[in-house]
Amino acid sequence: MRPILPLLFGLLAYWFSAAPGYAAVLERGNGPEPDSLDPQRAQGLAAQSILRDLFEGLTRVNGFGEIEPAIALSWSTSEDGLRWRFQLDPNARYSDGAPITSGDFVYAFERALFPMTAAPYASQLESIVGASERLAGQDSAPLGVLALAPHDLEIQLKRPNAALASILSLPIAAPVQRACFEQHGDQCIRPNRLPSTGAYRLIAWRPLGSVLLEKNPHYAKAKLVAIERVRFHVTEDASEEARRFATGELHLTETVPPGRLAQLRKKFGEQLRIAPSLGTFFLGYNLSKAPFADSPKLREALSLALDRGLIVSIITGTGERPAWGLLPPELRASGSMQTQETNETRVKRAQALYQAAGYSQKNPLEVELRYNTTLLNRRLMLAVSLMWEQNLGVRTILRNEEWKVFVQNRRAKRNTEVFRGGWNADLADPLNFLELYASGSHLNYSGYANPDFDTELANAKIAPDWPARLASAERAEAILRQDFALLPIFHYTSKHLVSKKLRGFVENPLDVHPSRSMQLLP
Amino acid sequence: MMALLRKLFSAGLVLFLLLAICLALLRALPGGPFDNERAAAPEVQAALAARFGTDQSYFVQLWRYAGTALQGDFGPSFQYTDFSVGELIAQALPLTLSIGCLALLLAWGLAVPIALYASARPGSGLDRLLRLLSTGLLSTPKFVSAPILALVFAVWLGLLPSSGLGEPAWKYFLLPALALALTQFGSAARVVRGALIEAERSDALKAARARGLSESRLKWRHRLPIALPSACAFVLPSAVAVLTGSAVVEQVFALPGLGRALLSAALNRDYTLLLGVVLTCGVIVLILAWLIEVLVLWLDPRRRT
Repeated sequence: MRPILPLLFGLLAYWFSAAPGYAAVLERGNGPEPDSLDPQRAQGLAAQSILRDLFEGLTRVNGFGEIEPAIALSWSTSEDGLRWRFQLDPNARYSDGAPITSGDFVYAFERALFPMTAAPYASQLESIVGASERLAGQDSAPLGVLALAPHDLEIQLKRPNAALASILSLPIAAPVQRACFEQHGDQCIRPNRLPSTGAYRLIAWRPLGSVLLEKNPHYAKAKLVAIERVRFHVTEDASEEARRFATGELHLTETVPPGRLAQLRKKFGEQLRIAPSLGTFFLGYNLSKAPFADSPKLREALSLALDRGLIVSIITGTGERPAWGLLPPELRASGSMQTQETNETRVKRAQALYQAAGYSQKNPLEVELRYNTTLLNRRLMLAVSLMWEQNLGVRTILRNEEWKVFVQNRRAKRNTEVFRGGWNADLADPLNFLELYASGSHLNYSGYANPDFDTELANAKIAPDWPARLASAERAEAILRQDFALLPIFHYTSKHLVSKKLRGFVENPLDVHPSRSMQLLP
Repeated sequence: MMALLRKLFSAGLVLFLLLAICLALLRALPGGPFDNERAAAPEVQAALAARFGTDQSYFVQLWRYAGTALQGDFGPSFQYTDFSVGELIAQALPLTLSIGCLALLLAWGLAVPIALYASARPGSGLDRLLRLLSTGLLSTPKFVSAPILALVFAVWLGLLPSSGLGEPAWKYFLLPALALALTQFGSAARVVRGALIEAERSDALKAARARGLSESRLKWRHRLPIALPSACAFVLPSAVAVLTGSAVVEQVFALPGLGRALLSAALNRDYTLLLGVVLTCGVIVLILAWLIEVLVLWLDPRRRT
């Protein structure tokens, strides 16, 4: 009995441990457990949300989803667009009070491009001189990130990159303190140890539970940060998250449970906030084998046979917009693509194309449609298969797979015919979408290859300014549409429940909501 | 001493077999630990495989893992790369043990007196009600009872938090413990009732009754001690059921315990975390089995020979 007593006392103390007594805590639902809080190693959206509170780089995303200067007070660009020179804020400090210098940026970029770091976003830095070589394991290759003086940084590019300011706002480009990583290794990412550069610092982390941040006293604009503490909760289930919001345990949710807009609006009123976001849901074809390899007519027929209006009103039902291309309207210079054609005319055209491709009611296409298991995906794929059957007579075999199995099959391109695709933008940059279809890209799950598309994509990459980049990107997207390389269905919306006590939450296409730009009423 | 060594050896063998089977099953599963929506570049995939040793053969992986696990090091988590598996388990284990202990206390603490009372009058209204209740509770899955409890006590009545973990912790433990206890109450009540009815028919009780002892003394000093050893043998499966059931309950109540870690590890193909949790659960079950064996021997001296 005696050895059990200390255990019992320990458990009792654990159960009855008192609250630390802080009132102004913003409670945020944040989806799954963040995979890492190492700015160079993190990948998932859940990690990126927390990292945007913890870390700022040369630039940052503000509460409106716009890029603005952060640690860089200003910058200038050479005429050829290949040299970017940044003047750093001399008052910028880590959360432990140590100054942030240009040497820290050099260390961070070197770390991101070191192969063993296995940084998932490292390819975003590919336009920097020496980045590709470093990623390929050439450690001695000169890197185009130079500390000219403690607060003077130069980034050299191998080609102009109009999106560089956006890329530099990603957590992967945030400075990290060399001393901490050299002393503690991976253990540097620990509460009360990790030196952060953003508005908040890490003070507690309960894996699969929550991450607690506290205002960074050394943050240059600390006086403008209203919320003292932010707790990011792991909320893997949207219904459970909504329940916690309803009981007042959360002020802001990561998403809302699936349901009709009218029902959700009735339940949550003005607290339900829905806005267009930079994301597209589409179906991908395996273009490396029959029946889709050389049959654009068949691909066009399948695309025309879908009534997207019906899908977004009946199946998704939370403000999604029908999609006719890969790029969301916000990333197209000419804005939204509208079609004047009625659904009936489209279906007639689809039937003609289907027959021209060699299929008929007597000789129907049999196709496997592969998707990962979610309630929404099940409904969507059922609707797609019904529309194909009703309008064309296509026989669809629905393959519902567990997440990892689906991802592996899609990547392998062996037994996949049509698959669930989708993309949410990391940056407000059309190339972030279009690179999915670049020849040889590891994200090109369709096996699409068109030299004209690649040329236009390359033109967009080296475009000297933003309008030229958008124009080239639109031309590249037009090639994708002509080839019917994918079947876009709808553009995503961001969906949140926002407490009436929370002010400063602004819907934006990037769906980025830094805690520093919000206020919490008592 | 030899008996103890034999026990330790057989426990080690069980754990090694558990490890070998789990690793083989994990490797046989389609989908790898680094397959994500946004596939990593090939050079990143190769770096990850080298860092975590997934490019090694089954036997090399098993040998290395068993060697480090023996020293108490379960390696780094594949999915939550900032943590070692040991750290993740150390954070999750107290919570799962707390809820599990609370659930067992609630289930058995209520089942024993109620069964004692009902079994004294077999076939009475209370006895029939107990049997009906225990069958009902036994056949209600936790993924049904847990959300109902949350809906009633958190959303409708607002008495307890609906999910998550905050302070004071006990408030957040009550509903999950209750959800786990309900099923266990059903099975515990049936087992204790059966053991007590069996005890009623035993020669020892007949002899005690023949000596003219009072019914109250018979109940507490004779019937219960006769029934307890066989009822206690059921505590082990009950505890194991609580441990495995915690995966569902922790998921419903968003609690960062061992069950949730296990589920997350399986879904993410996080080999090291899954093996670490399975080994931890294996050790807990072995310790429990040993403790219950000791308890039964203490309660029933006849079994010591």
